[in-house]
Amino acid sequence: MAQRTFSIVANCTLLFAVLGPLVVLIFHADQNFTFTSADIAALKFTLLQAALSSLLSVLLAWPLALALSRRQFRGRRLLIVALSVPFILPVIVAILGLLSVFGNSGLLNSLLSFFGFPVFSIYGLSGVLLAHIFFNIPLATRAFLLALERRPKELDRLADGLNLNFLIRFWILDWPIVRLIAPQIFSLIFVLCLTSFAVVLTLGGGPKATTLELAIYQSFRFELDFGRASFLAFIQLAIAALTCVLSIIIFGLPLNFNQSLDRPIHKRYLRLGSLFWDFGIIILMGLFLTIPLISVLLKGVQNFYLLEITIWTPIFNSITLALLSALISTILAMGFMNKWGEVIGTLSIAVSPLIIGAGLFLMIRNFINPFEVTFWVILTVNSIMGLPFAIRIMRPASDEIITNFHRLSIAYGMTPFAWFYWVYLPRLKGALTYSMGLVAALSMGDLGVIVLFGGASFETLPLVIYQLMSAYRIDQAMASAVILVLISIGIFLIFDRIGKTRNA
Amino acid sequence: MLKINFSFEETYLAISANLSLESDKIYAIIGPSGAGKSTFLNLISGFSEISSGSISWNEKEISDLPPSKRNISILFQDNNLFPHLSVWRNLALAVSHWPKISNDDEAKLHSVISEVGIHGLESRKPSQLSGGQQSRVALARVLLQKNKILLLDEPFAALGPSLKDQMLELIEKIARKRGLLVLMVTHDPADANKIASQTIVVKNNKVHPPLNTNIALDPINGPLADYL
Repeated sequence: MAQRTFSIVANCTLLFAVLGPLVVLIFHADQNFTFTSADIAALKFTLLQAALSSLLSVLLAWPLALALSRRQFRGRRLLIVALSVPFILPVIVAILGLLSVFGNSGLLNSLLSFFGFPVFSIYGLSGVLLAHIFFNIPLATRAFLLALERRPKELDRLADGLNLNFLIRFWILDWPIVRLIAPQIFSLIFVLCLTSFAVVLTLGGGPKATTLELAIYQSFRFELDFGRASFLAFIQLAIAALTCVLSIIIFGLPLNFNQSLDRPIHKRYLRLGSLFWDFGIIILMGLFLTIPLISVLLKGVQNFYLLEITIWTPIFNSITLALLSALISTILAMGFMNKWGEVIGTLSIAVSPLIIGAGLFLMIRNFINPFEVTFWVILTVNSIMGLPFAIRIMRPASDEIITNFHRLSIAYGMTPFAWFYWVYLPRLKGALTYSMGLVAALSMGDLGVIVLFGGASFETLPLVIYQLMSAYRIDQAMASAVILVLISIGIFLIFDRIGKTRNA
Repeated sequence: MLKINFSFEETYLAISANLSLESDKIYAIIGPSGAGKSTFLNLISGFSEISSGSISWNEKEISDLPPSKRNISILFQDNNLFPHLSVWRNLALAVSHWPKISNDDEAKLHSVISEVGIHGLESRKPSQLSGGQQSRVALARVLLQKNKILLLDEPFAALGPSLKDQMLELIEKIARKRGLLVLMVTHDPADANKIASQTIVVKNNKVHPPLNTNIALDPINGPLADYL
């Protein structure tokens, strides 16, 4: 039962790495804490932006998914693949992209002021929402699309045959899917936005647009008020955990959205009006999701000459962190290939990396100067952060291997080691490398705990970009962002490639 | 001699059995769908556990042993080969778990490969083989394990009639040469008639003692008259 032993070790490691910091935080929480008006404002803003972000993402994703599900056109597959890019896109790069389109001197405002309209400000609630829907529309669209493609095609044909109008059609065919999927996606995005850090750090801030997460960071880093930070962390954790638990109880565990979407669609005869509507949506959303990226890439490449030699160290640091945390997450995840792992994976979304980082800081500061071991703290946090993704990706593959081949391996009389070496590992290879690629890309682009800890002694590439941005050296930031995107996506693709090679 | 005397109960199925089987005969197992034919094989081979009773092989109790220690090999309905491994590796794993195998083992592999007639296919993956070739490789794996009891859980169901007959003939030839006890689940009375002199009827929650195949399969007076 080597597998069982390993599973127990993995569980204990995770419990220690997650619960340890949380317990320490709770002990540090200020007993006499009283809510200031700023805290109330932060709490309100947190809930407001999370609710609006998830609502808007779901509302905008539905028509896009519907359009993609019923239209066949050149580039459809590419567009669907592109929908998974924001997932591995470093947040800071997307923010730079949004700034270059919606920022004070961005494309949109140049147009607006040219025609004499008032300019749009990306800072504050609107910017936070813009960035959150930029990241989450693709996620929601993929989820809807998956559900739509699973629906028996006969239903569509039946509706065509009966010549139903679009309201009745929506009620009979689409509503059951929306009712099932929308609440799940809503709660997932809600929790993600609740603990969103980099977006609020760069586009929010100030008394009007501060979230709990940002308030935790500020009282930790600038006010050094650990009691207050811990108390706020506790409140945030409670809200996020409550949302997760409620959503699991009401809607069940989230569906696995990580599946391939390339079923051919059947030919249908749709009215001209809906044709314009569908392609209008596809083009508009396509532009919204691609122009910021294209813009940051173009400007970044033009500014390559601004890059300094000092950028090599953060690049090296980031790649090391990415590869190691990918390895650790993936190995740990192999101990969570059961229902229990799925629950842990879902719940751990509620724990923000910043909170774990802060807890670790408090935990170790009595023994060692935390700033001297920044690398190890970040590595720990990134590995934990990647774990739920690794579990989600590998669990279905692992289950399939066991269902199909465990019996045969017993018939062969294989030892646990032989099973692992000859059957489990080679058959898990695809999911394994996919998981490593994804976690590596996520870790590569992470701008969370590093902001709390990072400084002159240890910097990652996203931190350097953030610092350049804060110093208004936007051009140099964009040039570095191009490097970051290339490395992130490069690492992801290399792992993907390794997974697809068959050992001949 | 394989002596079987057990009862088995779970939520949707209960079967009991009390029979003795001779060491070098081929038995067909036949009965309505869901009667428990596959469960019967799983119980003998150790993939399911009997609720009470005993299974003994040559006076030695085997019902508390793991499947690999029971002197029993089984061919399943599907997934008899590892699809990511070559034919050679699929066979080599039956004799050794190490990447490199000894010269003795290599000789064993070559001899079984010619016995089942899959010469020249060693480097292929199972997906590059025809259905009949896959069956032969699976049979070769089972033969390398050198067990005296062979259980067939309809492994040839997906083959066409003439390929299936070829496989049955091969099984008969090998079983006779090596003195194997073969238990073969089938839906088709013709399979039983072809190679099994005795037939075990599984019906009404009971594994009945073997009968002569022509009596067991008598379409008018036999125990399976309403099924056939």
